[in-house]
Amino acid sequence: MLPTNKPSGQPDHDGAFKRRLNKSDQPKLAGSSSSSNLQKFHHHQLHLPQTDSKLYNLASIEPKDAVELSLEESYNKLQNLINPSQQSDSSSFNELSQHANQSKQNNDEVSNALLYSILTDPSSSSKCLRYLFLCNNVSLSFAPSDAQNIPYGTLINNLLHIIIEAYSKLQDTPRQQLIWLIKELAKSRVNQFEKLMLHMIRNIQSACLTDKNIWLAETILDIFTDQSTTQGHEQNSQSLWIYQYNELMSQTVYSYLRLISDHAQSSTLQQLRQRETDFCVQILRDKWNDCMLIGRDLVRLLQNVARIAEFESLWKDIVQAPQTLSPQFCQLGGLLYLMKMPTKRRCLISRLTVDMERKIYFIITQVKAGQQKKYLEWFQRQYLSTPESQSLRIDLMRYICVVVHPTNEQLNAGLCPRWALCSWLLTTCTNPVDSANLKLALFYDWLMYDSKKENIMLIEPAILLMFNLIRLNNIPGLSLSMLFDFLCRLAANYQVAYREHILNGIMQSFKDSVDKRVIPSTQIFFATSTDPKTQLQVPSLDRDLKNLIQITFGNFFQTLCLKPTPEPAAVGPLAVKQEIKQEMRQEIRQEIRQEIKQEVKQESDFQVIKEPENVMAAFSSDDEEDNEVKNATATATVSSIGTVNQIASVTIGDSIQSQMQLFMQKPFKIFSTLDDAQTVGQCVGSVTPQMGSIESQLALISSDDLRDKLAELNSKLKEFYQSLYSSLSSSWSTKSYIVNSLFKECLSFMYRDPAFVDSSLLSEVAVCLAIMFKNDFTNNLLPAQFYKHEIDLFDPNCGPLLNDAILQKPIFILFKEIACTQNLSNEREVLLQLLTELYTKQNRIGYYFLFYLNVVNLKNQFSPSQSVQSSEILTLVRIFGEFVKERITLSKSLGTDKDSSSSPSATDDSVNESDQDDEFVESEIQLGNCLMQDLRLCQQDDAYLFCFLLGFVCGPNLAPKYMINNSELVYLIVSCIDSRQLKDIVSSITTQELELLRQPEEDKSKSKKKAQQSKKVSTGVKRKRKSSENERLKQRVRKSKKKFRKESLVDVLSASLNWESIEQLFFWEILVSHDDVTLDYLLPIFNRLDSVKNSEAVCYLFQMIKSSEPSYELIRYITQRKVEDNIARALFINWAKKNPSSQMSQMFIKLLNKSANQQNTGGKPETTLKKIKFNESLNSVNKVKLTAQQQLEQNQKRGSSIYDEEDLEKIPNLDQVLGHLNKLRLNNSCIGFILNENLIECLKKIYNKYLDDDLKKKYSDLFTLADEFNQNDDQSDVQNEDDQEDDNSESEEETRRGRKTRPNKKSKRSSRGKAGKKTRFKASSSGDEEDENDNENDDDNEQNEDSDRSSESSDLSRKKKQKRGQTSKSSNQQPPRKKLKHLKSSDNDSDE
Amino acid sequence: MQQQTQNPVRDNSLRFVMIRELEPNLKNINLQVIVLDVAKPTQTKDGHEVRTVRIADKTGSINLSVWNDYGAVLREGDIVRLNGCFTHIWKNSLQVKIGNKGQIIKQGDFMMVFSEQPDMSVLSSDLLKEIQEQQSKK
Repeated sequence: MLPTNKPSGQPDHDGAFKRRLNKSDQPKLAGSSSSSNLQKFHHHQLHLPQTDSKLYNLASIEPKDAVELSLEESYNKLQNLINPSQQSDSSSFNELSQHANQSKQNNDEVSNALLYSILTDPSSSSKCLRYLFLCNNVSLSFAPSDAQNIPYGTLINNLLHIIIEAYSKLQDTPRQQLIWLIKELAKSRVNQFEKLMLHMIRNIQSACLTDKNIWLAETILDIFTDQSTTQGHEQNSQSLWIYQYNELMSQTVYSYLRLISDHAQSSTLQQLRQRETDFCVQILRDKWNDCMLIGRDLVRLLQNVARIAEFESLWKDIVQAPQTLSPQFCQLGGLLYLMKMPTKRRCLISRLTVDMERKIYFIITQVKAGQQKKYLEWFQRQYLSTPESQSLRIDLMRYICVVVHPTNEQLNAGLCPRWALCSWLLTTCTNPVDSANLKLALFYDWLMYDSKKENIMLIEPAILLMFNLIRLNNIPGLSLSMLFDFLCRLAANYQVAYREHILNGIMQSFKDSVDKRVIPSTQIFFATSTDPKTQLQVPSLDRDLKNLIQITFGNFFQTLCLKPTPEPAAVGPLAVKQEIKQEMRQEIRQEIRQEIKQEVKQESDFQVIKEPENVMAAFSSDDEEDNEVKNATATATVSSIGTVNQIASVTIGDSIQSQMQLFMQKPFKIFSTLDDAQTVGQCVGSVTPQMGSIESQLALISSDDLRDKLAELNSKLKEFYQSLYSSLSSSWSTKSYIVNSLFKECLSFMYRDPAFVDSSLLSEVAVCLAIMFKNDFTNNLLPAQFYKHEIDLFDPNCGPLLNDAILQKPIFILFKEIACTQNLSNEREVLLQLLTELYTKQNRIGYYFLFYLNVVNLKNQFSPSQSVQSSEILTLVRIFGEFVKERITLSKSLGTDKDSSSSPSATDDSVNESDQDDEFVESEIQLGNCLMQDLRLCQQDDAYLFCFLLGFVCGPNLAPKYMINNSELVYLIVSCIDSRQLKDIVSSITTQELELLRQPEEDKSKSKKKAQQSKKVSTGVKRKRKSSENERLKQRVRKSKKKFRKESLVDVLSASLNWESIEQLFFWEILVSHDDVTLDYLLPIFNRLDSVKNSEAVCYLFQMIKSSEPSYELIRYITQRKVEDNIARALFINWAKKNPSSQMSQMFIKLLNKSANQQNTGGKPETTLKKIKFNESLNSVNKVKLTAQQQLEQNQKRGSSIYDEEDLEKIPNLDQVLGHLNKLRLNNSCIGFILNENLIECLKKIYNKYLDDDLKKKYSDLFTLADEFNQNDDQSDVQNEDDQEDDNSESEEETRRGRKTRPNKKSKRSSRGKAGKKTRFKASSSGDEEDENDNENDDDNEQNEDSDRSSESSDLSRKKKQKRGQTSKSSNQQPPRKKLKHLKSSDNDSDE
Repeated sequence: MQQQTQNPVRDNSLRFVMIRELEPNLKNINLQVIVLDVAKPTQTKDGHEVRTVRIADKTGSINLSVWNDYGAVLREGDIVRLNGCFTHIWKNSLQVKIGNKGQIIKQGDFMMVFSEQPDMSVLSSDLLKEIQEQQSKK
C-alpha cells in the first residue's frame, strides 16, 4: 500500500465515513444488552463515530488532522520493519534504511513512521530514535527530481506542527514521548531543534497551575538545565547550552520570569520555583547584555518577582551597580535605558499559547465592533475561568497593546477596537493585585513614551479606553476615575527615581494622542457628562481626583487643552484659564495642606543649622560638607517594589530634600507668557532647560561677548539646577556661588555696555534669561518649613532659611545687582528696563521682587545698625517704584494696559490724599495697581507666600493707603487662606503689624472737600497724559469711577456679602480683630442685612451687638428689623436676661411713645419694603461666585450702599414695635419686662389712642395679656378704695401721669428756650428732615424725663394699682370717644 | 438553488449553503457553521435527548436540532461542517436537521465570523400563511 497524495480535505471524508461505518456496527454489537433502546432509532438519528487517534484526545466529531494521518499511514506501511515480529532488528533496519534511501518521499515515510512509533510506543522509542538518527545522518543521493533533503527537516516540521497546532490535544503518552524526543534531539543538537524549544515554551501557560502545565514547565526546564546537553559542547561547565541561541534565551528568560511569579504563589511548587529562579538569575547575570534587549517588560516582570531574594539582589545591582551586570548597560544609562526600551514582541507573544494568540488576533482583525461578545465569553470560559488565571489577563493586555497594531484599513473597517478588549480584561479581573498589575500593563508603555521614537499604537488602547469611558459614561466595574487615579499614583510611585521621566512620558502620551488626533482633546476628561439616570450634567472626575491630577500633573491638562490658542493677545481663553487655574489652585492647596500636615507628623526632629547672616554669602565649606554627607545618607534608594520610600529623617539644614518633596508635589507652574505646553514639557522632560531653544535664542543676541557670557551662565545654571534638584545633590551652594557671580558679571557687563540702551537687545536678553531661569519659577519660593511649621518671623533662625531660599534661586541676584548699582549714567535704568522686559516674559518676577524686599526688610529688623539698613530697604522700595513706573510705561507702549481694565480697584486713592500733590497720588495708584497685579498672581500660585508678603506689602513702605479697605485685596486673602493662616493674620492685625480695614474717622463735613480734591486729581491726570485714543478711554473709565468714593470699609463689607460663606467668616474674623472698628460704625449695616441670605454678617454683628449694653437707641434700631426675624428676638431675650426688667421696659415704653408720636404726627413711611427689595437684588447673584472686581463694579453700578446712617435715626412704627413685643411675650425672660405695669399702661394708652382696627385685631393677644395682668393684679389687691369717677382706667391713668410729669417736662422745655421753638417753625415749613431733628430733641428730653420718672415710680405704681382695681369692670370696653378727643387735645396742649 | 433542486445530491455535496439562503424543505445540503449556543436537552417520549443548537455563519443564524450524542459533543464556539442536512418547519419556525446519512465534522473553533441576524428560524408571516394553507389543503 503506497501512500497517495490526497488533498488535505479528502482523508477527512474517507476517515469519517470509515469511522461511521465502523461505528454503525458497534451499537449493534453492544446492542445485545440494551437493544430495546437502540432499535427505536429514528431515521434521522446519527451514530457517533469513534475516533481511534492514538495521538490526540479528539471529540467524536473531530477528524484526525493531516499530519497524524500521514504519520499513521507511514507507520502502518512500515510497521513491520520498525517493530519486526520475526526478523532481527539489524536486518529490519537495513530494509528500513534501504527504503529511506530510495527517494525523498520514502525517506519522509520512514521518518514519519519512526516519529509515530516514538510518540505512541514508549517501549520501542529509544530504538526508533536510534534509527531516526541513522536515517537522517546517511548522506542521501536521491534523484535530482526529488526535493533537496534537509536532515531532520521532515521530522522537525512534523514536530512543529504537533507542538504548535495540537499540543493541547495530545494524549498523555504521546505528550510525554514528545518531550522525551525533544530532549534527546536537544542533547544531540539536532539541526533546528531550538525551534522546537522556542515553540514548546509557548505551551507552558501563564497563570495556569494544572499538573499538566507544571509538569511541562518542569520538564522543559530540565531540558534547559540538562548538563549532558551542555557539557558535550561547551568547555565551560558553568554555561548553559541556551547561551548559543539568543532569541531562545531571551524568550526563555522572559517566560520563566513570568512563570516564577505563578509558581511563587503555591507552597508545593517552591522547589520548582527555586530551580527556575536559579536558572533565570544565572542567565540574567551571565548574559545581561542580551537579556536587557527584552525591553521594559523585563523590569515589570522583575518587579513582580522582586520579593525573592535572588531577584532582590539582582534588582539592587540593576539600580545601584549597573556596571556589575554590564559596563555597557551602565554606560547606556542603566535602569532608565531598560525602561525606555520597547519590549520585544516575541517575548510578549511567547506568553500566550498559539491558540490564545490566534483567538485574540482574530477578534481584533476579523470581528466587527459590537459582535465580540460571544467570542469574549468563549475565550473567558476557556482560559480565564479559574482563579489563578486572573494574571493571564496581564499577558493578554500586554499582547494587545504591544503586538497587535491594526492597520489603518483595519481601523476604519469597524472592527472590534483594542480598547474594548482592554475594558473587557479590566472589568472581568476581580483580584485587586492583578487588577492593579493589569492597569499597569495597560499604561506600561506610557511611562517612558517618546512620541518621536515610539508608535502611537502602544498608547492608543489606553487613551481610547479613557476617551470611550467618557462617551459611555463609564461601564460597570470600570470608570475614568479609576484609570486617572491609577495613572496619578503610577506617576508618583512607580519608579521614584525616575518620576520626572515617567511624568513626562505620561504627559507626552496625552499630548501625542491629541496631536495625532487619537482623541480630540484632553479637555473632555475634565468636562461634565450627562448622567444617564438623572440626566444631569455631572463631572467625569470628582473633586478629590482632580486635586490628585493637579498635584501630579500640575497644570499640564489646562495648558494642553488651551494650546490651540496661540495668540497671547486672546484674552478670552486666558481669562478662562485663569479661572480654571484659580479653582484648581484652591483645590490643590487643600490637598497640599493635608499632605503637609502628614509630613509634619513624620518630621519630628527639627534641626537648624546656622548659616552666615549675610544674604548673599556663600556657604562656609563646613556646612557644605555637612550637607553633602547628609544628602548622601538620606538619599532615597529606589524602592524595589515601586513604593515610595519615605525619607526617614530630614534635617532642616538641607532643606533641599524637603524642598524636593514639595517640588514633587507641585512640580511646575503655568507660564502664561512663554509657550505653555512647550515649557511644561521641557520642565518635566528634564530638570535642565532645553538647550535648543536657548541656543536659538542666544543666537539672536548681537553682542558676541554677552552671548558667550550668557552661554556660560546657562551651562553653569544647568549644573546648578541639576545639583539642586537631584536627590543625590551635592554642593549646590558652591554652584550657586558660581552662578551668582557669573550672573553678576553678565549684568554688570550689560549696564556698562552702551549698546544696551537698544531695547531690542534688551528684550532678546530678557527672553534668554526667562528661559534660563525658568526653573527658579517652578517650585515654591518659601522654604519648606514655612509650609509645615509655625514660623516666627522674628526668630533669628528664620533669616538663614529665607536666605537659603534666595540663594537657591539665582534670579534674585538681579534684584541685588539693581540695588547695588549706582545710577551714575543710567546704569540702573538699564537693569530696570531689563527687569521690566523680563517681567513681560515672566510676570512672576513681580512678586519675586516683593519677596526679596520682604526678606531684606526682615533681615534689617535683626540687624544692629538700624539706620544703615533701613536706608537699604528704602532704596529697594524706591527701585520697586521705578520698576512699577517702567512696567506701566511699557504696558502702555505695548498697548496692552490691562491695569485700568482688569483692576477696577484702581479707584482713586486720592480721596484720602488731601495733603499730597497730584503727582504723588498718581504714582501711588500705579504702585497700588502693580502691587495688586503681583499679589493676584502670587495668591494664585502660593497662598503661603501671599500671606508672607502681606505684612510687608500693606506695610508703611509701599502703598499703605491703597491697601487699606481694598476689597479685592481682602477677597484675595479670604479666598486663599486656611484657618492657620487666618490665625496668623488675625494675630498680626491685633498687634497692629498689619492693617487691612479702617473705619473713617472724619466727619461728614469733610466729604465735600474730598470730592473737590478728587476732581482736582482727575484733571491733574488729564493734564499729564497725552490723549491717545486709548488714554481717552481710560480716562472715561476713571471719570466714571470718580463718581464713587474711594472704597470705604462699608464698600468692602458690601462686597463681602457676595463671597462664599467661609470667605465671609474669614472676613469677619479679620474685621473684628481690628480694634479700631467699632460697633457704632458697623451698626447701620445691620438692618440692611437679610438674616437668611447674609447670615454670616448678621451672625457676627449679632455677636457684637449682643455683647454691648442695651440702650434705647439700640433697641429702637433693632426693632426696625422684621418681626419674623429671630435675630431681633434673640437680642431682646438675651438683654432681658442680663438686665433688670425695669430698664428694658422703660426703654420699650419710650420707644412705644415715640413711635406712637411719630404716627400721630404723620411720620415717615415705612422703610422695610425698600430694605427687602435691596437685599433681594443684593443676593440674586449670590450663588454665582464673582470676583472681587466684579462685585465692586456691581456695587458701584447699583449706586446704593448697604450703609445708611439714616436708619439709625429712624423710629420704628407701632406695628413693628408691637410685633416684636407680641413675639417676646411668649418668652419667659421677657414676660417680666413686658408685664411691667408702666409698659402695660403705655400699651393700653396706645391701644386706645393710636391703633386702627387692623392693628388691634392683629395684636389682640398682646393687649389681652395686658388686661389679664390687670385682672391678676385686681384679684391680688383686695383693697381697692378710691374716689375716682366711673371712668376708663387707662385714660385716667394717663391723665394722672400727664399731670404729674407735665410740670417737669414744661420746665425742661422752657429751659431749652427759644431754640426749640425755632426748629419747630422750620419744621412746619420744610419737612421731614427737620422733623426728625425735632424728634431727636424730644428723645433727649424724654431720657431726662425717664430718670425723673423712675425716681417716682415706686409711688406711682402703688397708686395706680389701687385705681386699676376700681375700674376693672369697664376695662374691656373701649374708651368713649369723647374722652379720647379730650385726651388728644390735652396732649397737644401739654406739648405747647 | 434551482440547480440544487434539479440535481441535489451531487451538487450539494460540493458546496456549502449559506444560512441566509435557507428556506423550508431543502434536502441534502451542507453547511459550514459556528455553534453559538447549545440548549439544554429535552426528552422525547421515547427517551431521546433532543437539543436545539443555535448555529450561525456570516450570513445569519438558525436553529439546528440534534439528537442524542451529537448534541452532547457540540460545544459553543465549535466550527463544524454539517453534511447531508435538510430543513423543515417545526412549530412555525425553520429548523435544520441532519439527515440519516448526514454527519457533523468539527473543523476548529472560535475563529469564524458570524452574524446572528437575520434569524432564519423566524419565518415571515407571508410564508407562514402560505405554509398553513398548503398544510390545510393536504
